Amino acid sequence: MASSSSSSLSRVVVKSSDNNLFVVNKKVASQSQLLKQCIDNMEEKGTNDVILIPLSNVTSNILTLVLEYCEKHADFADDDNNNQELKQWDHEFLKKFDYATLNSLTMAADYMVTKSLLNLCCQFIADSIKDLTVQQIRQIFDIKNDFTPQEEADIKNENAWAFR
Amino acid sequence: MLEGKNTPDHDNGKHIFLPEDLILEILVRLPVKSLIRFKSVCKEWKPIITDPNFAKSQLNHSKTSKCMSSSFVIIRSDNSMFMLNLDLNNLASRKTEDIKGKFVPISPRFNPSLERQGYNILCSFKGILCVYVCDTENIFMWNPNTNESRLIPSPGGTLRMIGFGYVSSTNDYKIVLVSWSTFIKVYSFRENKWHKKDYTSTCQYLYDINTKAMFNSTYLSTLVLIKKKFRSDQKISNQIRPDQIRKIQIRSEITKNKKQLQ
Repeated sequence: MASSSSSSLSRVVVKSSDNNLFVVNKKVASQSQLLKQCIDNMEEKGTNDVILIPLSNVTSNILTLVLEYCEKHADFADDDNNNQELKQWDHEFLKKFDYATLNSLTMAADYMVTKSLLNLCCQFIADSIKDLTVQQIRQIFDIKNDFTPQEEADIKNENAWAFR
Repeated sequence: MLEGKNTPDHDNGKHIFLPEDLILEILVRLPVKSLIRFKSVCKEWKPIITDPNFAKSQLNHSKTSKCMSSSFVIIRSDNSMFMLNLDLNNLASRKTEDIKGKFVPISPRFNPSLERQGYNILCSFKGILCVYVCDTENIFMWNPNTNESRLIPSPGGTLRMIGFGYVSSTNDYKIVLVSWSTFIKVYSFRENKWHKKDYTSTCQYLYDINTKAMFNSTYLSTLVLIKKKFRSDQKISNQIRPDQIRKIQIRSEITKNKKQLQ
């Protein structure tokens, strides 16, 4: 598959948890520190084979999204981080998803060590939940209210202003 | 808010539990007002939000991000204190009517009957108030957002409050008091202790040009030292950190203005 005659790899194959294979350009894969580390290790060993990287924690749906992000950011890799077009793209990219997808994407970004995507997801989630009520937060993160009604009332009374 | 948007068909209907370290990454990016509300989400979140180290990272985040964190104003009337929360991001679009009615009465947990005893709010800095209770002569540091407070040990003697602030290099809040003789006392929140500092005998007393003296990051910048030996137009301004006093010359234009006034 790889036509490069040097010892450096041009592409890698990434396997999702549900056993789908994705052929990924090295520049794109390098957006993830996890994939980059794997590639660097293989190159040090001087292998010419196409390597397969299994990601046991990432489903193909989410992996597709991470790779879409990596592809876009690889195109802008030489630009400075403040590229407005890229920022706009980031925002449009995340806007499409519901919280469950955002949470999965955040976990995948963390697992694949794609720092900029992780920061982006966390900031996006924070921005979109900041005005929500406690009840809505519990729904989104599927959190059970383990306070007694009295305890909850006490916390609310202490900080009444934050609930208005 | 995001409901009803297109969902890639993964684990449909199932919630994804974020691990605690990622929850923290999200929470640290929230403004204070949201965090205080979210303390009542569950027992797992409350200690995360109330952890002092978390507060520090949250502050750093809100400083670096261009989004301004929410601020508040405390208004004191005869019998009570009210807090008005300002969302600085939306302030421009706010009409006066929107702000009305958002004053929330607050009452310090350390002393709910404060108004009967008489009190002074000495200084405030980064959301922390320094309150002096007249009856008991106690000084409290109080965070009205969390209603947490600390009773400051008595410094002893008659001292005048001149400064209160946060020293970022040591992650410490400090209170500076001055006596009318030759020393100042500096309280360190971290050590919960007063330190006495002498300063040169030629400086007769410290004078605060602005009662809202505060640390500008590491320096207490609004103090003015008056040397008795000098004439009144030769005031010397000091940039002073509690543990090191050094003199700098007052800027010439200020001196000139002073002369014109006289």
